[in-house]
Amino acid sequence: MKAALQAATLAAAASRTAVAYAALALLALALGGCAVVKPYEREKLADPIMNPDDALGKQSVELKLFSTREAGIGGGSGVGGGCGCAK
Amino acid sequence: MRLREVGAAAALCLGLAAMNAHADQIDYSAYPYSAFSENRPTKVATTAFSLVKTLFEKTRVMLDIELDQTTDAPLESDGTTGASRPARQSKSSFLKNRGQIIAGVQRDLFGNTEVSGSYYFSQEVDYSSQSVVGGLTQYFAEKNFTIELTGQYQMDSVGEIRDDGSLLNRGKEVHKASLRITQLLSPVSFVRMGVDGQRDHGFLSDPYRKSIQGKDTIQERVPSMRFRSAGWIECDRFLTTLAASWSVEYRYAFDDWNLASHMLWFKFNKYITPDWILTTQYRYYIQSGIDFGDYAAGNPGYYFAPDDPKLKDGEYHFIGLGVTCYLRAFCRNHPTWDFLRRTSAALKYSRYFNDAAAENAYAGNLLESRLSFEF
Repeated sequence: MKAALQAATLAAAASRTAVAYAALALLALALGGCAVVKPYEREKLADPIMNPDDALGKQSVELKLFSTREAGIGGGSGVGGGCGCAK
Repeated sequence: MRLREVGAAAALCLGLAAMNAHADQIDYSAYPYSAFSENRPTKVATTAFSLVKTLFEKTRVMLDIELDQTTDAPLESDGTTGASRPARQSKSSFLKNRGQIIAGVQRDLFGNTEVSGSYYFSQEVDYSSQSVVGGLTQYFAEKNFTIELTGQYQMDSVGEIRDDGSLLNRGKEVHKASLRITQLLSPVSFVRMGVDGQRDHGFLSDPYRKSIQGKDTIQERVPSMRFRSAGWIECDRFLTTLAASWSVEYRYAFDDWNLASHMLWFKFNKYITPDWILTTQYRYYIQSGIDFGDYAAGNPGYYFAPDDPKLKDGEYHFIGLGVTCYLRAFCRNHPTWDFLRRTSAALKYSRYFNDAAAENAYAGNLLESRLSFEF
């Protein structure tokens, strides 16, 4: 009984994961037709304000802060921490 | 003791990097400091050092060292290190130190492929964690389209300081995998998206958290296995006429503890002058509470503390305001200060809070500063 319930839970999670992967693949295919941006046209894309993580430093402190109050999976490498990070 | 050995190794790496500085190029070094305080007595001070250096043209090494000091850690956990403390010390002053080191290497292969690897280690009096991370990045169509694959294995030792002062350690393993793709849309915009998966196995409870069940106070007990997934998308655009940029990110996460969360993050950055950048951000997060559901039905012995904010319904806001100054502004009229030409200083204030009723209200203030050198 216990194994069946756990299997059902995992199956539901797996199906949602499959939907997410499929949506991502479709989006990637759709983006494949975008115009090619030449290297010499990328000055604005390389500007520091297009990458504020670098402009103000990496956001590891914020991500740690979020991970102590939020149980959703984090947005970074999310390496270890104190006991409050156990979950 | 182990942290001391790692620190010595880090110092050696720094020395080697400095010795090589003449032959190769130091790309980047930074000295961040942050101070965090909550609407409780908790305060956290973090000092760090980061270095990125290119060796042999196609190899980059990275070193990151961080030291945290927490005073009056709360019974649950403080906001930046996750530090908690035994309930028996709840009435006394409490000080906790934590050290962290990350060392990594990245190698360019064949022009359009990069491989990377890093090692992470952290230690505090009742928690240690180590992790290895491997990554593969593949560029396509003149780097207009990028795919990144990352895998991580983490092994933690979750300690509990018991009443007699002894330490009880229990293990936890984490496997993570992520896929991220980036597509340039135009000379001023790009989109990034990805999926993350994570498997936690082992002792997943907080050893200090208790739950009151009737007349009994019992140790929090949660399932020893958890699967988590997330999907996200981010769009960024440069606004040429405003000398500004905006970014918006959405993330949806769910797991087999029946938790679901949504996150929306806006950022707007603008050049005030050619040497000053103003950054603003707002982040909204909402999650449903944990429902062990099927687990609990088959295992009535599972309890979790109802006051654990991570396991119940929650809604959080995060606002931030910062400035970055490129010190080249001060070099123009002072040639002797030319060594500061590629240096920047940043200061940021953020507030993280919820709208909950008084007993569950939470607010944290974070002040970050950072000094960065590029050579």
